[in-house]
Amino acid sequence: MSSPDIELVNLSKNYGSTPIVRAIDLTVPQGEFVSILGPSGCGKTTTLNMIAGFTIPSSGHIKVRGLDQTGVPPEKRGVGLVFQNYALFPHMTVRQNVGFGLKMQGKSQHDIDEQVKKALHSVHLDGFEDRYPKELSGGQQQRTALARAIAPRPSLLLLDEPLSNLDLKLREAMRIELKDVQRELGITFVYVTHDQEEAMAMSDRIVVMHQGVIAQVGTPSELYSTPRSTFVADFIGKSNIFAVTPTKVEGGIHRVKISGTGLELLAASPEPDPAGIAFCSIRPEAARWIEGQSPADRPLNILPVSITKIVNLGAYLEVWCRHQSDTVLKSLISAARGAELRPGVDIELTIEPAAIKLLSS
Amino acid sequence: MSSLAINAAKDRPMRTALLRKYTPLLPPALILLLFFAIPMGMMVGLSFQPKGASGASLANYERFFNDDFTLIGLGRTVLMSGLVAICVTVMGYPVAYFLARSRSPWRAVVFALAIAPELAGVVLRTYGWLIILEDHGFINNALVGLGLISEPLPLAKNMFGVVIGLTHVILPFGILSLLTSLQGVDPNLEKSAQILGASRLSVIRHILVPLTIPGIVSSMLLAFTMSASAYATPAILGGAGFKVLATMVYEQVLFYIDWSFAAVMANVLLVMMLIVAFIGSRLEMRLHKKLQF
Amino acid sequence: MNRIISSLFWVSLVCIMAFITLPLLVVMAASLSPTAQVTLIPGEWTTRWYGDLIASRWLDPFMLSAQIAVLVAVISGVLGLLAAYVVAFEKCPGHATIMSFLLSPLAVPQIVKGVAIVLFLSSAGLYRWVGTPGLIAAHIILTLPFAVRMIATAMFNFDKNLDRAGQSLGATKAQRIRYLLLPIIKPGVFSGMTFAFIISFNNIPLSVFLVRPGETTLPITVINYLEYSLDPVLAAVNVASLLFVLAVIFAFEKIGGFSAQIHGGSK
Repeated sequence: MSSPDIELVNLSKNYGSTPIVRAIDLTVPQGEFVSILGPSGCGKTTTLNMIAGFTIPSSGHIKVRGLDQTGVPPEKRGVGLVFQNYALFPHMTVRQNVGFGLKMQGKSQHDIDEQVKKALHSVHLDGFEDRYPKELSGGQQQRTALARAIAPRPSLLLLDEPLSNLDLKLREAMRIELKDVQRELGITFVYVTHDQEEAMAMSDRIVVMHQGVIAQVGTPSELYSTPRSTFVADFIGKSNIFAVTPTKVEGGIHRVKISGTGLELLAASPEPDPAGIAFCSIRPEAARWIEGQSPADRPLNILPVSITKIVNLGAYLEVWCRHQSDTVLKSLISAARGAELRPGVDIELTIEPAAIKLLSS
Repeated sequence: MSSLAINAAKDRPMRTALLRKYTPLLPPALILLLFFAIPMGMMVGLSFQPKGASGASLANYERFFNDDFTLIGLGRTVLMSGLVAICVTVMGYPVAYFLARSRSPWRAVVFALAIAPELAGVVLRTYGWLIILEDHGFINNALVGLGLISEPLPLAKNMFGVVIGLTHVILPFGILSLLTSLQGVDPNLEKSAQILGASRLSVIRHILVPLTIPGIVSSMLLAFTMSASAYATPAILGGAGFKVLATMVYEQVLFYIDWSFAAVMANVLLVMMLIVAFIGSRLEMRLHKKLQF
Repeated sequence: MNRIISSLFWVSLVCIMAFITLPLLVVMAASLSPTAQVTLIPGEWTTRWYGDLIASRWLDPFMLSAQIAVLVAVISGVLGLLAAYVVAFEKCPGHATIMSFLLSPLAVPQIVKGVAIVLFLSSAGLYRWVGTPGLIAAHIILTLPFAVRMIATAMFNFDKNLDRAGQSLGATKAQRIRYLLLPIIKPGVFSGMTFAFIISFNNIPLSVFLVRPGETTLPITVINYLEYSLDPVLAAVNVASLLFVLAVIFAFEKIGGFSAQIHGGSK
């Protein structure tokens, strides 16, 4: 069991009377790639700034490798930081930028040159030493910023939405590179982003933040398959979310009614307290299209629907279906299979009880 | 120890730390105090102490506003500055427009030419105008030589010469001021007006001028205040009889050695500036609100 | 109609440009003319007036003006840096008010400032300050607001994230100032100093009250002569003066690197 690298204990930040971060607790083990994910205004950047030391917490404290960081200025924390706009020193070459942290540590010129070369090598920028930042492309600037942050060998690296200024293809390529660098160096990465796809692709664990509190922490698959709130269910991936009232429980299967309609579904998710159930969440790919099945093996939760809209997502079609109860459900159907579907066509959908997640908020 | 005392103890080192942050400000502040604030204060005080008398009085100010000589000088200053303000703004506008919109390689040349005369100093330029405008200067020699006139035209040593000279000196500032304003107008606005059928004149009248009124106003104010405080150009191109506030102040200090009267004139000049600046900023604010952007 | 307006525009542009350059060309021609009659015929030009410039009646005021201007530029630069640091970089509480005080001399006409200083010096019994020390002090008051404004602008444009990046890499405040802030605002500081130099070297209204026989600046020497003659030597003095100022700007630019800010501002 690796020792915790970062501990946030009852951490809060208020600006005046407005709370931005509300009493959050978090433990990050050494060597983990953890993302702090959330919409703008959720407090993720403020949390990052508190770990870095640029923002002073209103209450609570932060421990890095067991040492309380209260009162420690940023330049003494030994934490690396990659900025959203790179913040490369425009008057220095790539070499001087990357070597800056080592120079501040007082290392000899020989050591600095060696470390700079190694750092540039890990980000595939060998040969760029004498260029100036304005001569580099966006992706190259990004990698220079990364090299500069890792050259002084911090044991912790903070990244503040570093890929948001790059276009899609470059972003996807950089995700892989970042992950490789992290694995190679074994440093703990704390990655702040609002892009859930990015967080899902790169992280060992994701911390989802919403309005200053942590909504849920878990691995990408945990968050996807067992969201614990409608916020997480909606923020990560796509979901059909309905307000429901529970009617009956028999043998681990809840019967719930979609509020305002007469539509009843059977859900098998292990929800402890029937009284706490207020919503359900169904992933579009869980609403499966059945084409003419024999009556003998009819699955549960069959919904006859009429197609209202089809959105082409390339390999998949997002098919919007309306049930007679006026409930609209989004279903994901492979483009090959659904080639003949058109708005107005009637089909049947089925949802497995285990795929219906019951949530209290 | 009570928590209040603990907090106070925490505050004290913080407060001295905060005060220490202001220390780099001391040298410049000291210089400004010693050679600007105190002298200005003394000058204002002195104006209330007429020469030879003791105690404070408004005698000097009465003298200033009752003397025809000084009043004419004041009026001349205002007239001269107003004319220069108009000339600078009217001449500066086309140049500023060209600099704001043009992408031709000539832009750099025009920019350099518009600004560079400032480097030459007031004397060089005023001297040049003297040569051009004086009785046996370029223009008059050409006109007499061509037989168009028999007597040289009085182009220098009067209001005309001074206005020309001051316009030339102040033009770079007017251009820069208008340029900033014009750069703030989206070129696409002119293009959309044109697509909608507006003639060039309409575009100027309905789009350009209304949107650059703040720039026009600030250019006129800048030119006015710079003119009113000008010394060298009125002295050289105006001749001995052309007295404006600045030259009158000079006379009072160096010839009449009536420092308190000089102080009065200086104060009148200063107050005039402040009034103009005040009116200007009010005007700008109201225009901004009216144009609503 | 559009074409008339268009051609009117270009014609007036050319005329205005001619208006701007005319006096400069005339003075250059005058400096090469053998007599007070300005001639535009290159064949009649002579450079003898430039030779006269080495006389002490021109060299002494020139040296004085140049020395004062350099001193003023450096002092204003340093003071401006100190002031801008507090107001624009640290942004200490009340910085907006402090800034207006620092810029307040701009609202006062030069003549007024000059009278005030001379008054102050004589009533404080510092009459011997009239002359070089008084000129230096007055010029600093004149140029300091410009320097403060230009350097403060450079500091405002300094990306705060660069400072944070420096912090995250372990640099102390002193190191960040030395390696990050100062190098990056260097063009702003040097353009402020250049501006101060030009203003000081060419200054007249402020200086008229503070010169003394034997300690007169170059521009004032020239206008004193202008009162009774249009000697071509004056033209040569003016042109040489201009060339000197251009040389100084060039030198400052080489050290400070602010040309990007002049060329249309793209960086």
